[in-house]
Amino acid sequence: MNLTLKVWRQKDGASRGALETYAARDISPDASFLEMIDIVNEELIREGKDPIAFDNDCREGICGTCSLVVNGRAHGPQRNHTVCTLHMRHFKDGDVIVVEPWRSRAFPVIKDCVVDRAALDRLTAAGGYISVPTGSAVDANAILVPRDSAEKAMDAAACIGCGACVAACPNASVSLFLAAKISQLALLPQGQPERERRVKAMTALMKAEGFGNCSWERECEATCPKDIKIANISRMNREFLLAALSSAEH
Amino acid sequence: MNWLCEFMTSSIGKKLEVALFGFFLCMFLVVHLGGNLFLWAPAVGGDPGHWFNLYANTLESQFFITFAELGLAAVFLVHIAVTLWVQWENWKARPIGYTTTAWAGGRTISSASTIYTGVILLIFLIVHVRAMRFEERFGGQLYSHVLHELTGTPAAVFYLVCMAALGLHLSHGVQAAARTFGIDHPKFTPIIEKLGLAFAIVMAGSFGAIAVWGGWFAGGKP
Ligand code: HEM
Ligand code: FES
Repeated sequence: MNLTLKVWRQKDGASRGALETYAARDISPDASFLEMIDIVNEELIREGKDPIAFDNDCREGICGTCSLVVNGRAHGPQRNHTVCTLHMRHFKDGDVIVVEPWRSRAFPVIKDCVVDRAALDRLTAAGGYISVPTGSAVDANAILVPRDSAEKAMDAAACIGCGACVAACPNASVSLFLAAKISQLALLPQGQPERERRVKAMTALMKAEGFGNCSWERECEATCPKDIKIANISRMNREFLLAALSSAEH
Repeated sequence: MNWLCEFMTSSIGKKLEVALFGFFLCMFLVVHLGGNLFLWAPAVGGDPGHWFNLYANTLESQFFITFAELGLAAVFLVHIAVTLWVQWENWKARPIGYTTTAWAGGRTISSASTIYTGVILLIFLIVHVRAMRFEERFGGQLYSHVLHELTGTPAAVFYLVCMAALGLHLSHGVQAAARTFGIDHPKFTPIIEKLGLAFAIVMAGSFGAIAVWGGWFAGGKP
């Protein structure tokens, strides 16, 4: 296949970027989207030009590193997919494909299509963990977890932290990511002791990091590669309301 | 008290305020529609406005009416002020937008237009309240005043456009408010979504029907 790429190029965070046009020639329909960019980059390198910078690691949809907005959609045209597992057979010969970075005030561009997603790590560090003294693993049956809760917690824990929910949200809200991190612990006995402190600290940081507010557009849910549901955001709101009303801490 | 301030200005706290005051506004719509339906009550002694005027005069002579009006104004004010604040933050959260946008299938016309239908409703509110509440009453009677305001194509079209905006606003708003309150349940959410849509259609449809009746069929001013 032959394609025309319009890719966001930006030298660094301080420079202004713009879309630049590249030709992608002789691409196999079986190539992945990232392999297609690899091929374009090989040619750019041969021509002595700066290759397109983009984030990726596992290339099998599990690490959450890849992060491209393709034709206006985070991770590309397939629902609940990562861009690394997107294949060129989903495009037509002669297509013009626009490739841009995640856009959010909280995700500054580092170079081209690579953004700084450290805000997600800071959110997790604000409370997305349980504090327990380490030691030998406790007996698996010492704490009983109802199957239903375990399933829901596991669904939330499937989040790979790619940030596509932020990129896809018309408000650049991080609610789905945050709700997944809060839910996976709120649903389990181990998460109970720090429950109130967790939701308060994490939602406060969400605001401070400059993310938007959730208005239930559901674009995050339709985009999330791990199909995490907005029911988690409702759970986060319940956790938040209960924590605000019942915790004695100021 | 510090915690209260923090709660009220937090991201979810603000959404809870929007949802709560939006819910109050929905209650107001029900009461308002109930009152307006007196416009269609049967004539008494050849006076088609008998019941409506009786209802309006009774309401207006209650001692609490001023407090109720101020309370209602406050509810509108909070809903509007907090939504504008929330929306402003949402716009600020993406200073550089995408050159190409396509939606993944979550967004609907009504969810995407909430702020715009809200602004239409704000304009409507100003025009409507000025006309119905603050203008000199036609002949001292509310019924004939209402007909005077509603009659004619320009008024009817204005009211219909605004009621379409109301319907769109509510068809996203009601289910969004439920989710904001933390209500999401496999049994109840589908029901809430349908009820929300039904509420939006009934409200926009009923007020719209009054506008059609007043605009073209009630025989008001020539
Ligand atoms: C008849 C009057 C109105 C009613 C019954 C009403 C009702 C509602 C309801 C129930 C919601 C859902 C709350 C939520 O998202 O959780 C909502 C949202 C909203 N309303 Fe209204 N509203 C009215 C007037 C207005 C006006 C005049 C404005 C603006 C000038 C406005 C702006 C908004 C906005 C922007 C949202 C969405 C907030 C967000 O998504 O973050 N509304 N409304
Ligand atoms: S590169 Fe690991 S999920 Fe895409």
